[in-house]
Amino acid sequence: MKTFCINVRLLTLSLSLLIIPHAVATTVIAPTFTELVAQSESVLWGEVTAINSELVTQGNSRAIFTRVTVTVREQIIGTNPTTVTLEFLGGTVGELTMVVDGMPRFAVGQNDILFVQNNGRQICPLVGMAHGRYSIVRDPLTGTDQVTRDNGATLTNVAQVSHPLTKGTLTDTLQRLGGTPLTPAAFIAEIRAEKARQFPINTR
Amino acid sequence: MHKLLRLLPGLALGGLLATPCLYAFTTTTGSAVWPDGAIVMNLQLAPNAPLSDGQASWNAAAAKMLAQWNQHLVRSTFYWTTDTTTTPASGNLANEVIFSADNFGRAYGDSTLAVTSSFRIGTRIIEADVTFNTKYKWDSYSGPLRGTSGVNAEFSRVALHEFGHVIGLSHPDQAGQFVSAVMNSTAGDIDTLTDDDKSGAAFLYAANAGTVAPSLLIPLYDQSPLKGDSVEFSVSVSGSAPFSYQWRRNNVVQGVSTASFILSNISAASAGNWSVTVTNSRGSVTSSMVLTVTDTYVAPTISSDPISVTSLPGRNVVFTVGAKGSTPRAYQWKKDGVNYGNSTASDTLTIADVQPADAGRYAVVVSNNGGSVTSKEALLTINGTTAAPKFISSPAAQTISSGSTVIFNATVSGTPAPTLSWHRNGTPISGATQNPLVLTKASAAQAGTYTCVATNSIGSSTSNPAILTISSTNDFGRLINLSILTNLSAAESYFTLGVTIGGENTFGTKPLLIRAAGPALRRFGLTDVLPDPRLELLSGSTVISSNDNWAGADSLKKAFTSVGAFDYSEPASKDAAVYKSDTALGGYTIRVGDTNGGTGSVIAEIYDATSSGNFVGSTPRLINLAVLKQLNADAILTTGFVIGGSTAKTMLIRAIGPGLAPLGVPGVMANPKIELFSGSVVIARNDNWEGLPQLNSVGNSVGAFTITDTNSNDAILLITLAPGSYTAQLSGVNGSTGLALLEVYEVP
Repeated sequence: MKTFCINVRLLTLSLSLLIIPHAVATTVIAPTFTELVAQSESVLWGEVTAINSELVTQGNSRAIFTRVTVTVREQIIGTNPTTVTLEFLGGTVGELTMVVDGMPRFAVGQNDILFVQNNGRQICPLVGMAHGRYSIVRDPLTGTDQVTRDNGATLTNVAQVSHPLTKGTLTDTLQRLGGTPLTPAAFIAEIRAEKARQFPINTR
Repeated sequence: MHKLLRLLPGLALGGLLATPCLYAFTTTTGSAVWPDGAIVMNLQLAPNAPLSDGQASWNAAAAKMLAQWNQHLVRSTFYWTTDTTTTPASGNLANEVIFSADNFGRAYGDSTLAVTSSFRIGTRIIEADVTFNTKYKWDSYSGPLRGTSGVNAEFSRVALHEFGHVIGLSHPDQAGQFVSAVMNSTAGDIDTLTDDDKSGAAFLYAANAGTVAPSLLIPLYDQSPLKGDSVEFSVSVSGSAPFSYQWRRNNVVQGVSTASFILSNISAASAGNWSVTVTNSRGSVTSSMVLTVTDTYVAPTISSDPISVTSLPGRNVVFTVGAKGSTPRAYQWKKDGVNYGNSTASDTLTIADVQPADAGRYAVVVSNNGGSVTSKEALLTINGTTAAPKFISSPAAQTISSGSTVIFNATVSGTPAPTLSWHRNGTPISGATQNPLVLTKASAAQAGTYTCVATNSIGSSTSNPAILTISSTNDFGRLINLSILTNLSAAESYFTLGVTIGGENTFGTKPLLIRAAGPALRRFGLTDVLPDPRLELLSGSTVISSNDNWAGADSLKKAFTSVGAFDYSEPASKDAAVYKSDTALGGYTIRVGDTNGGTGSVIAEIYDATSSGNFVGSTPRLINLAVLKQLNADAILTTGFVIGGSTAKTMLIRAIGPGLAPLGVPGVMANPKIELFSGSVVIARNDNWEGLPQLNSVGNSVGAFTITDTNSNDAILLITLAPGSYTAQLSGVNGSTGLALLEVYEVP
């Protein structure tokens, strides 16, 4: 399985918004679940079927873009063709690697729920960078599919999407594993319910 | 006879938790770093704006942050320019720091303050650009973050953080490490580098001389515990410390950063594919294992039986069995149906230096709490009378000061006698085919990993590696104390020893404390001591200082304390001592006898009284001690010496008997030998020097006379020693008596 390893390095010490200037700041200010849904142009559940990186030249500038092709399994919000190609800044071409810290990593065969925004116009086409990607992982013990965040932690309720993507201690991880993970169906239901709550606002 | 049973890692359930890791910082993937030298940053942060902290410009503020990092970089350094005319661009091999609304025409999104994008080839960074998002209104100040209206980004701490990314650091809190750090992905009031940030920079950019990438010594191995058990995860690597450890389960980073740890009360939730990546400034290595947790014990089964082996004598033979089932598992090896050694946790049996008597049928009984199973038998057949090379001792790692001499020693067996070849970093060293290997005036270019390869017609063997580290410290290894413990009999009214003060490119004088202790030795349990020692310090034939009884002088007490000498507990004791603050360079004789012709044990000591803080390269040193003594049957001449400083020192120690005859000395000891002790442990010994040319060569370099007969029975040790106390003992082989010369030389 080819691993897509654009190791994203996005901003780091951000101060927070004016509303809460002394609050903890993050590289990417984590969206709330409401914001995550509201800012998404589309939300899809799909399988990564191809990853390609290309060195692009514009004048005297060069950059590597990595295109992640996703075969849509279920359209959750919005409309998409059956196959979507998302474009991320960074990647590896030959021996040359462009690193942008904080960018999510993909691998062919992975199942993800993706919150898509400004594909082709942003350095990362997901809302809140890695906050906009949720992997579906099958628990080898129970055989049940569960939703995990980009840091590998199981998502046990949608409020957790606004938590920083830090990786906890071993104890923390095990405790999280002890929770009740959201299944894809449950997560999708929450997304659609949230969208439905927002619908009157978005149609004004 | 049981041979060496080498154990592979076993389970140590319920043991101690691992020691906390020294460093919590995390590096970017693959520990990418800049090449040695300058990292030039083009500061192009116009237009300027008033900054709350009074700095003249954004560029000035950025430069200040680069300078902070520079304090912790050794092999690379940030430089910056503010007058570049280059148009900022991605992938142009220039490192630009700019304000911009996008990167390569792509917006940052709604919540990005700044971005560091870098280019790498392999693990080498070749470009890094830092962009501050113009979407935000910036200011620069220190201290707590402010909520100033209209200002929502503080420049300096963001710049400090981004420049950390430039050198290859990532977010420790996103690697499960909870520390105070500017490099954390979340931030508040931290506006300067913390210890963790500094450690990260030092880790990546420490001096590289002699640094070796990690390689696995003891890898992870699959485990199958029962639910509720404790499981130890442990990895061991070779290479140059410090190391960082990153553990993953199913590719998810775990919050453990130590070489080993224990999971208690294990559950199925912990099962999966585990791995650990060990990294230092030169590279990284990864080891993996599968953890399977079961509800009930699973009896062992054999997945692969030991394989029959035919071996020549002298080789090492390894039998391995593959087993499955619950862990821990115990392995009881059997030879010809009888237990061979004790039951162990190892699935591997290594029989070292096999001989015909080791031939036989080998099998293993694997057992756990669920049952046991016996493997099929494997035959060990021994053929021939020759033996492959085998290292009995390998060279030892050394840290020496730049420009000094280092010795690598190895001992190897084999039939026919192996030939040797010394290697540095895996490459043969031209002409280095003898033992010991002598490297003189070693520089940083000679740092690295040294091995010895022994080869004969049966095979070849490589010694364990020894890492040579070259230090530039001023606190270099040096002799700080020399002593002779001997016994004066009625037949000899005194003994003499020679000492030399000097060293290449040294000048000035040296403070020395010289003592002759007899009664004071009673505190160490000696009873037959010289009752009233007297000492004289001579330059040529002139006595320049002498003492009979020390009389409890305060100045001497202070000198004793300053050099760490043991106390003369009785002010009225008849021990002798001299403190000479201005001893000039040159050779001296110290003569020790008893005022009233008494007999007994006496120790003569010479201390370098220069305080270590005042020691520099030009400070004269103690460089040689020599004592000529008549030794009767079973007598031993003992010399002690102390190597101070922080680096190892090479010493030449000679026990000369026959070698004195050509100089016209009568009645010499026919066959002296020498043993070198660290504490009570013999760390080296020599009977006959065997005419090794390196020994005369080094001897000539330090002014020792040449031993002309290469078949003589004189004894010589040439060895590099870490700082510490050592004792060398000269004695006669098979009752050999006569005059013998014991010499200790510092080899520069």
